Amino acid sequence: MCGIVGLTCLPGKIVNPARAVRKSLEKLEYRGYDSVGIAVIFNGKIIIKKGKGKIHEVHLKLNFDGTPGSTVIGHTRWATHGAPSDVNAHPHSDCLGAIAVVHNGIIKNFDELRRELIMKGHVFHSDTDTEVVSHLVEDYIRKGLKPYDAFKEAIKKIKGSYAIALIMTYEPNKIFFAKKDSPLIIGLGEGFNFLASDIPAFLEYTRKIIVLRDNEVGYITPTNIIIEDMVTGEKVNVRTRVRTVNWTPEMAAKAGYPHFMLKEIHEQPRALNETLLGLGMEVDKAAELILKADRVFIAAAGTSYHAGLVFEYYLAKIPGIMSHAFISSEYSKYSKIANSNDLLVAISQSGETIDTLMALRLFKENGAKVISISNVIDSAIPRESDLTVYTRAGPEIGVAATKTFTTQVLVELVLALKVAELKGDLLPSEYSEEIAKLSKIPKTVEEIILKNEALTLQLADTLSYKNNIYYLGRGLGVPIAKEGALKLKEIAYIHAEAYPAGESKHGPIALVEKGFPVLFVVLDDENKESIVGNIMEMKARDAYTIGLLTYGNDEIAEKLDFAFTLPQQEYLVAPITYMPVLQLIAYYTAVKRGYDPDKPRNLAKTVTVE
Amino acid sequence: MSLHSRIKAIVLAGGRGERLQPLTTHTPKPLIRIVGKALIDYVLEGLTTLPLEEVIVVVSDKRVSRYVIEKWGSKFLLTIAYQRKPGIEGAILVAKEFLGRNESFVLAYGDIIVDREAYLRTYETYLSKGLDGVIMLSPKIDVESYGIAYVSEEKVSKVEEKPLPQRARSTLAIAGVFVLPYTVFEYLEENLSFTEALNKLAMTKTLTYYIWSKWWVDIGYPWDILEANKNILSEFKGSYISDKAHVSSKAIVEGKVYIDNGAEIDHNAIIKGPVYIGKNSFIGAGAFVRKYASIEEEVIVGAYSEVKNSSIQPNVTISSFSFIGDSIIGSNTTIGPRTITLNIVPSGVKVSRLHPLKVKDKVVSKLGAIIGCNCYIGASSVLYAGSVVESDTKLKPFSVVETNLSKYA
Repeated sequence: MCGIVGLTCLPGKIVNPARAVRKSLEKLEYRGYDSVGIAVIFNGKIIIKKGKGKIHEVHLKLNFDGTPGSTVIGHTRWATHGAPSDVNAHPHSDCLGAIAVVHNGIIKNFDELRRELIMKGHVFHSDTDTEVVSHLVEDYIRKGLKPYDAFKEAIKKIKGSYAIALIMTYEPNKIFFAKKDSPLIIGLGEGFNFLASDIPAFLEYTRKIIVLRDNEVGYITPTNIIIEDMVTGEKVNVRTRVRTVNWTPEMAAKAGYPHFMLKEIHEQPRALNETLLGLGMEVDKAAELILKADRVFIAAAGTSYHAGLVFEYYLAKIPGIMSHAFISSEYSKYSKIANSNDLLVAISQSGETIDTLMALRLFKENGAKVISISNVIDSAIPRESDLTVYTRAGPEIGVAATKTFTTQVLVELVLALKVAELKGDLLPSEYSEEIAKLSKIPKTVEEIILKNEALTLQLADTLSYKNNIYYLGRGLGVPIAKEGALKLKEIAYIHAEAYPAGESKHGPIALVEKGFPVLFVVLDDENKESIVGNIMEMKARDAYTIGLLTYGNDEIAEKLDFAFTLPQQEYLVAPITYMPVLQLIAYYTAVKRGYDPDKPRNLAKTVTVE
Repeated sequence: MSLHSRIKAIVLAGGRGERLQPLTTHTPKPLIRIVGKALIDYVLEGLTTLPLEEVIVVVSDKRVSRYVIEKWGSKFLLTIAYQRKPGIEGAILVAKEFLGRNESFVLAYGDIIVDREAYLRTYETYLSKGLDGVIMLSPKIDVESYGIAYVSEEKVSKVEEKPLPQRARSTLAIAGVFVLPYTVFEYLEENLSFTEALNKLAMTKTLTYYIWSKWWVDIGYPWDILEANKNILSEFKGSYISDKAHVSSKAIVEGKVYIDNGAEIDHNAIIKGPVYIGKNSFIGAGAFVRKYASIEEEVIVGAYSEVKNSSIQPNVTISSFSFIGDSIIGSNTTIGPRTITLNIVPSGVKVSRLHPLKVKDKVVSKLGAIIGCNCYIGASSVLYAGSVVESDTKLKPFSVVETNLSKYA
């Protein structure tokens, strides 16, 4: 995901167009923030300013606001292909520097197009897919096409998803655009027009909008808008498409959902799918490092720590490798232990978690190798690691981690399977079979969410009046229970504690009295019978028993006051398939109690102070 | 550039309210009272959040049109359309002539109660996504009594009307607020049902959704009124007692209450909120009105009677020493003195949308009596849980009415 903006205005209609674009980009920062850039047309020339870093950092260096010109495009990037760097930052230009383009999406056939263009003598500067667009347009202009026709021809050549804004010195008041599968919206003004990936970008200037549809192409000038359908070639009647928005800007980004958290819970099928598709050779390399190491440590904080516990379990149960997961703020304990034959796996969604970074540095100083699992390309932790495996969950805005947990677990499962293959425990064909099975998970997760959403709402009705709850599990169920409890704690403000179910007799059960809710994570593993014993214990004390289990466990479900029945799966994927239900329980309980799940008190999304 | 930025809304308020019988024998469904307002008022209030050019209200009863015009005529550009053909399809089609060709529109069911914000958010989703239509969805466990939608990749892929619970793979109920393209009229004219038309739209166009995660009630069955009362009353932020109400200095008023103009609370009455007491109603000496009772206008609650979690429609008289719990009483009914409603439904009687509660270790469904309009219940009668008294019934003193919910099955 990236954010793009375009603005063209009559002189003086907007006081400082470059500044307006910079401010618009800040509103789109939720779509990505690893590099940023703008391009303007001034005195018949294109000026590009771009660089790696957050918008305010790059702005301090390059001073976007000091750029003249009344036709401006801008971009804020969330790298997926090609690391964030000054060169890879948008906008991208052509050979002559007469064209500049910004793009959100992925051009699938860029390799082929790039080769063709290089054969024709075009010189590329970046590793991005986007740069082919400017060179393609240049190519058609060289062939004698008019700018707009050249643009349309270029768009016809590219395959994939895109929202594109492009400027050319030949027609300095126009911004050409095209849209397919990535959002693009026109903001209509008096003497100026905007283009942007999302409405909040220009709400300060206008509330009249046109939401572009797939396969639409055209251009804006300060006083005119042309849109046509690429497929039919018909001109769109612009007037009928104009709508007025009158609401708080934040809503647009989460359109379809009342909160980011609910949106992100529902986005899990897609996030899992993209994570799986995005995995490459780094998995093999990481698996080798794990296999070669004497000892494997796993450092993480919060939700990532629970993913770390899942990884510890996977390594133990799949290739049979001993590892140790610890909470990264406790890193100093390992100062005399870490050595050069060790491997540290650092897990951090943001890649900026300070405690995990400190743990990483300690292990590195002692000569250990470091692998990281992160969702943000080229953030601090990946930069300092020997190797990174990325989750591709997309930006996560809700403070409570949801889709990043399940994608972290997916990456860990693939890693553990790969280690088992390298170790010889799994045949290559068995490994491929397992991976093929994993590709069905996104669909299963989608079904689980649809089928259980109302039930979680129903349970939330009961939980919203409670002050305490226990989450119990055994084996792989323990980290699931811990993560479920953390969700409820952080957004619904209910005291929730998780234990290995066998541990409850050693203390926690003393608190259980009539109506005390106890949630059981029941897996189809060797612990099932023991956990039934724990359920009976709690029932004997009149606890309100809740359980997550799979189909075919009716005799256990009957013992529970409230049961969620999920599709049968190999129990190893339970952290991915069970977790959405626990996330929904926390979400609806928070809403029922009148709290905003996106903004839990006292919490920040990324913890960058020790 | 002249900008076409407003939109029309169609409100469906023509249903007969069969499942709400006997409450709707003399009162059209849209005029049933819920915490001091008519059902239709909640929908129209929700629509005030939108930039509407015109509101087309489809009705089948003159009383509804009169009410709507009088109350809402100054707030909207109103058009009243009379439903000629039955069903939701007939209701939507009758509004077609008021829309321009290819005009998208907001469609609202006239019998849902939800926060006003839900209307705005659904419309916003339409604006910001730029797709052909939006359906508001809300998670509901009783899938068998709702339309259900399947969603994937931010699109609605399929809808299903009242699926069997064991067959349904989604629990997202269609929540009665839509933005739809004009094409839906064409599909309905091909004699497709509304569900079929939505499915065809999902195939030929792009429908998205807005998930509403707070409470939402569809007034289908009489006990849905209790659910709505409970939700509305528990959201009272504070108490309000009208200047024109008279509360005896010896009465006890506790918790959040809304006491409307002209209401009178007599000596030693106890009002324990959240409770609503409507215009000109009278709560007699020593009466006890508690949690989730909504006493609509011109009601008399006699001395020493108790009312809890009940909907008392306008002009009802509850004579002294009665107990009314978890019940719904239709307008103009008189309850003789010492009438008792029982409110624990026998186990084994399953009632759609009535959710069992755990009370003192036992799982029970609570529902009192459902009494129609213009009834007279003789003194010292006993009404079993889930008993139904049809409108215009006169019961002799000492009558016993047994549980009978079969008409709602």
